[in-house]
Amino acid sequence: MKNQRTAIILITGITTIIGLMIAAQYQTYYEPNQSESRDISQLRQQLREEMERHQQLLSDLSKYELLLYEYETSVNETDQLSVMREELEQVKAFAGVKAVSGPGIIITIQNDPSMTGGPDLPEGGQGVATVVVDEDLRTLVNELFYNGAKAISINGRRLTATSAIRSIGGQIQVDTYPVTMPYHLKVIGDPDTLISTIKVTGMHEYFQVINKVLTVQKRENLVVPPFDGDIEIRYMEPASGTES
Amino acid sequence: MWLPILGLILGIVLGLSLELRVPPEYSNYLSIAVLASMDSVFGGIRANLEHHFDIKVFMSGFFFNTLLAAFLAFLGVYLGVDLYLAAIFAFGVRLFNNLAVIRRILLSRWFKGSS
Repeated sequence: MKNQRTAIILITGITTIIGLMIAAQYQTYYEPNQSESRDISQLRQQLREEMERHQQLLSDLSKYELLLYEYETSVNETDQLSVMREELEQVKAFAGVKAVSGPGIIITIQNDPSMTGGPDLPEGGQGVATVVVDEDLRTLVNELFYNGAKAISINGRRLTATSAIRSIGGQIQVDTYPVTMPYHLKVIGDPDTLISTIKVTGMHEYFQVINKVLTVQKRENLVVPPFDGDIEIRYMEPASGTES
Repeated sequence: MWLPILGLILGIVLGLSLELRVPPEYSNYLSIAVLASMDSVFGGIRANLEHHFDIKVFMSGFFFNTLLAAFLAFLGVYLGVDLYLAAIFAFGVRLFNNLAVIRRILLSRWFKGSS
């Protein structure tokens, strides 16, 4: 009889263990089974919800990043002034109201001595246009800007965002300042790129046609002077509120 | 006689309330352990009804069978062959055999008692 009681107690202990294991197995497998039993519309619905949640989390993230940025900038409030000053300097350099220096090239356009025999020979003597016109300079400047020139001056006249090159009475004017032969263009930018640009666009041949020689010098440190006129901001003001 | 069933219910309730979870990669082992335990339980009940229950045989059988089954499952995972199926098969067959014997014993007792 004692034997039977111990047997029952032992069996009870083992059934308890079985119960524990069954419960564990059930809890491990119950949830995946539930998720598999949903149909496609439910899954789509859930996917949409999750995507919305994702979107929301992303917007939260950007919000908090903005907040973080604001905090960081407010912490460095003393640095803010110097940052603004630095930015102002950069903007000035870019706008052309400040002298800039850097690697670049000097382009010189002068009369070809071997072709004309002398610089004093009157131009257009052979019925061919042998004078540099505004169009030629504009083309050259255009190609240079397109290929990475950051600052250009023609005979010391810095080109700005609103600069104009035009012919007035047989004379070329850069922003109402007359420039005459020989032309010296100081260009800041990657020298190799600029030199190959001039070669590829055929500028040498272009000026050779009108008996001018175009020479290019590479400079490691070139200083381009600032625009010395006034830049007046009229008729426009910074648009606020719109990004475009 | 109702004590084992009570133990089973107690175990399930305890397991659910404790929120026991097993990593899915070990579920093979758990299924074999469940089967081995059930084999032992039914074997024990049968031996008890046949009046030749021995604690040593019962306990050693329980642990040895469980360990062998777990070893087969382990080996199967590393060899890429589902060797634990052998254990499941053996346990399953024995489970039904034991159940059949238990059923016959209980039926004969029932009819002996009633007639």
